[in-house]
Amino acid sequence: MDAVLAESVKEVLEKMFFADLVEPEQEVAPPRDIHAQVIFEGDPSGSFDLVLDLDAARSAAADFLGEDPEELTAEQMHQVVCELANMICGSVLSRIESSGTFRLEEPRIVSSDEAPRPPAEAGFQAALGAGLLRAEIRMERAACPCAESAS
Amino acid sequence: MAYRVLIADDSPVMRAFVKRVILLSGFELSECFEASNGEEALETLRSEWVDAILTDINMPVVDGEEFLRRLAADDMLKTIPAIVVSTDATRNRIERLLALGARGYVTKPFVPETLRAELERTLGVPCE
Repeated sequence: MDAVLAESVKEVLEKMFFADLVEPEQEVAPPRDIHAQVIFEGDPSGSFDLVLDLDAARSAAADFLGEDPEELTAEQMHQVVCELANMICGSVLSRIESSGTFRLEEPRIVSSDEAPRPPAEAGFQAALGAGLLRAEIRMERAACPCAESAS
Repeated sequence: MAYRVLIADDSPVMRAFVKRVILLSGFELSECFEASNGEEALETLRSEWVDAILTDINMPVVDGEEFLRRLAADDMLKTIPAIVVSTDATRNRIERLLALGARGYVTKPFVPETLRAELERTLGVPCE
């Protein structure tokens, strides 16, 4: 699952943002400036979180819109980070549910201080421009029916 | 020949990106119209003729599926080729939207050449 997430992040940034990622050689503190979340429904359902440093968000928005990084507004950066989250989440789900159907809720910017989240199913972190990007996906597992019948 | 294209997407940055990619690809674009949902797109199409439509699926008010249904039910508008641009690459979704009348489907992420090729295929532009 980590490999699927990493491939999706790299593919979206290469094709739609004309940007290359650099994976850190040593562990670094995760980014926390701009946090976008996408809730998805399907088989399985779950949530996707994308968090970027301000520098990474500015770099992504400038690459996506073809504009001067210094001219970008906070609103534009938030919209681009939401769109990036939407595309990565859709790419991951299309890879793992190629014959199924899923529905993505509209991406939203959330506070990184919201309630603690459960451990992620998969995570990927890399440098983008002068900042960092971190992607995480969480799946909701349906209770196994055999567990009930066995009790 | 240059073409008139309508982009329907609720994200302003995505509409700006699609327009930028069309231009980067070398596709001959004479005019580009924008709509933030299917209802706005239909209003635009009642006053402006376009050669092709690029539409998202998840939009408020009138989403992409309903937009395609309304296009197919309109004798004048149903001749305009509509291409879906979406993150959803699942087989069920693609088959359903093509059955509703979409003439093409481009999954995000895509490179500029892919978008241009799909536009030219649906418009019947001869290969260079």
